[in-house]
Amino acid sequence: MNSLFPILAIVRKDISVWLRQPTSIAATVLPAIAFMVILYFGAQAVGRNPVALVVQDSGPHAQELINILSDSGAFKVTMITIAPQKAEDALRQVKVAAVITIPSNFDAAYNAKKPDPVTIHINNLNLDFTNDLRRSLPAAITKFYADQSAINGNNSPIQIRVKETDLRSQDIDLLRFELVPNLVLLLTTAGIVNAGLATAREWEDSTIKELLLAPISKATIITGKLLSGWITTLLIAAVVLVVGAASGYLRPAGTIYWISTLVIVLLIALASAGLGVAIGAASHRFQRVTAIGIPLSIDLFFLSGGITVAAFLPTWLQTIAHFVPTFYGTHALQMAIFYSSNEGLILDLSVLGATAILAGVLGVLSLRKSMLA
Amino acid sequence: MKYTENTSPAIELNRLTKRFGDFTAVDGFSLTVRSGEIFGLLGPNGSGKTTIINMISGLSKPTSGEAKVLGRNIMHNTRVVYAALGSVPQETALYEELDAWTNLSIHATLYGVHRSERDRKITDMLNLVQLYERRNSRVSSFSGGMKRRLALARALLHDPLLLYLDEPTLGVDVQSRRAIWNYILDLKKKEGKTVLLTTNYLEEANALCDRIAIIDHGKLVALDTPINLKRKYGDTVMEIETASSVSPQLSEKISILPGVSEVIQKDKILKVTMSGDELTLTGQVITLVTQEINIKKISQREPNLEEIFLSLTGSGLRD
Repeated sequence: MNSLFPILAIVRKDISVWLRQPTSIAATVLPAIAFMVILYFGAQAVGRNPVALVVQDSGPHAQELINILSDSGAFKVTMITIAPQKAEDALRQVKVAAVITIPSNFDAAYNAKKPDPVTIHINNLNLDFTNDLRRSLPAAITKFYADQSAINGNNSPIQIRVKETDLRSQDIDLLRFELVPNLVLLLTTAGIVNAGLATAREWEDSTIKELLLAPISKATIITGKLLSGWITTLLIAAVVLVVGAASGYLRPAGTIYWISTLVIVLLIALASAGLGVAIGAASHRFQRVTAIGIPLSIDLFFLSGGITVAAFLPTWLQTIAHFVPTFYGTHALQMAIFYSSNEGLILDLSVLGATAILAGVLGVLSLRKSMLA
Repeated sequence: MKYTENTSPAIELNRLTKRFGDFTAVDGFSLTVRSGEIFGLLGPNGSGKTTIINMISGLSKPTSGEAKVLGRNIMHNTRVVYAALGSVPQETALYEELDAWTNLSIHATLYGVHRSERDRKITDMLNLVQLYERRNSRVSSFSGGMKRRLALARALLHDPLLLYLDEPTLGVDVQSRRAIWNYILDLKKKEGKTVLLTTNYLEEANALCDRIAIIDHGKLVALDTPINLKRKYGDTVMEIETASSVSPQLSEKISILPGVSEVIQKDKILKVTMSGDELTLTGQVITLVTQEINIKKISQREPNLEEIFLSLTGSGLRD
């Protein structure tokens, strides 16, 4: 008997059941959404500490410093006043995190090439906020003197020259940068959980007998399961990619990078679905699939540099990350989507391809073992 | 691949044994199910029924021995045999999120029912089990009886030669049970199909089965037609109402007759429990009683299958 139609019947059945299980779909999507929400709030907090500026000098240099401090991405000037007491009250009432004072002698000190007299009074409520401010005020002042050096040359009291060269073609903000590891998290969660639940469901509902007693080969059942898990994962990925491309947040530049993006997505989804079939066939239970699948996806997310750049992790974590397939998936997608680069693509695709094959084989072995009671 | 019908027995089990570690679930079990008969497999819970069915289905590999289904070793010819096999598992194994039609349509595809025949066969089967009107309803909305009927329709869809029915009326109301019994009886009468069923309902086995095998602890305890089983293993109770009380001597005389297991005398009623050749014994008892006293009324109750089952397995249905 032709195996194609039974495979398609299993795929059709699994997808129909999946579409009628909104809670399963939610379970696969929610971890990625939750992480994006957390990252959004985290990104909002970074560089958004409210600061009061007490300006006691009306000279031109003081005005320039006010502009630089106001434009700083490291904090947010929410109050500019000439009354120190008003700013101190705001600090005590936790309306601002710090009070920066530009003293009345600022321009005079600048012209006399004397040390910078700016002071900061910090509410050291939380070390992270405090350190942000400790780093950001000197950075803003450094920019002030660098700008002065550029305008006034040797007349600037402090000579600062900053030369920046960028490795990548464009700057990507934190939130956008995190979209790729979250897409990978979505793919792994959806692949593992969808394929795992579709497989475990056959035992949970005892419908496995309907499949096992049909005159079809075990390979047909396994292929059907893998395909349905793969397709449902890709359906979710397609929605994210379309929305991402339409919004411009996830839009590879050029056909070649679109193709590499799609190939990478296909491979990650296939590997995840294979792993899901293996877990589902070995565990036979919904709860076990979700209990194993979701934490596993989250671990893979973190180890692949989910909330930071993997290359900046401690050495021991980097070593582990190099054994995590999603590390290569995240890297390949970031290169293709953000930087229009094929850097390391061959290695990334090889690892993902090998993982997909390995996961598929694992799924096959697990399902075969489960069938032979 | 298609199974070609032959004249072999439908099922032949030859010293079938299944061990799980130290535990022997099925112990040297041999059995032949003839083509065209309804065969019942009875046994208390844990007696090995499901393990035997799993081995006959090729879902479990025997530790030793051989299971031949439709003339072929099931472990070596699984797909060929499956094409000629219909199965209604105890759990019904239906996709509850899908509607009745889709369930049957998936089954038809899995069993290679040709597209041109598919819709007609599904319609026929749904009509047979009186579920056509509910064809677009989700199975999860069906009652237990409807699910059983749908599972039966599904098992018949590809026109199998042999049907396995595992507890076909478990949890089903009386009306549905009768309807399912009628379908099963029709399968034999009208289509000559072979049916192997397991059941815990002795009344069901009695009503449906041509032959019954009683198993316990993985071994065959008895195998025969329901009538012969009753004849061989059942105790018949004869109640004799006399004109006046019988003497203790008469009771003593009756109780020592070969085949009489118990005599109870209460006022003018004499209760004689007997096994073995009941016709001869009945005659002997009546002769002894009439020699002493006039008989007003005689009644005799047939043994039921439950009594036979209990006497052979030594227990009621186990949980």
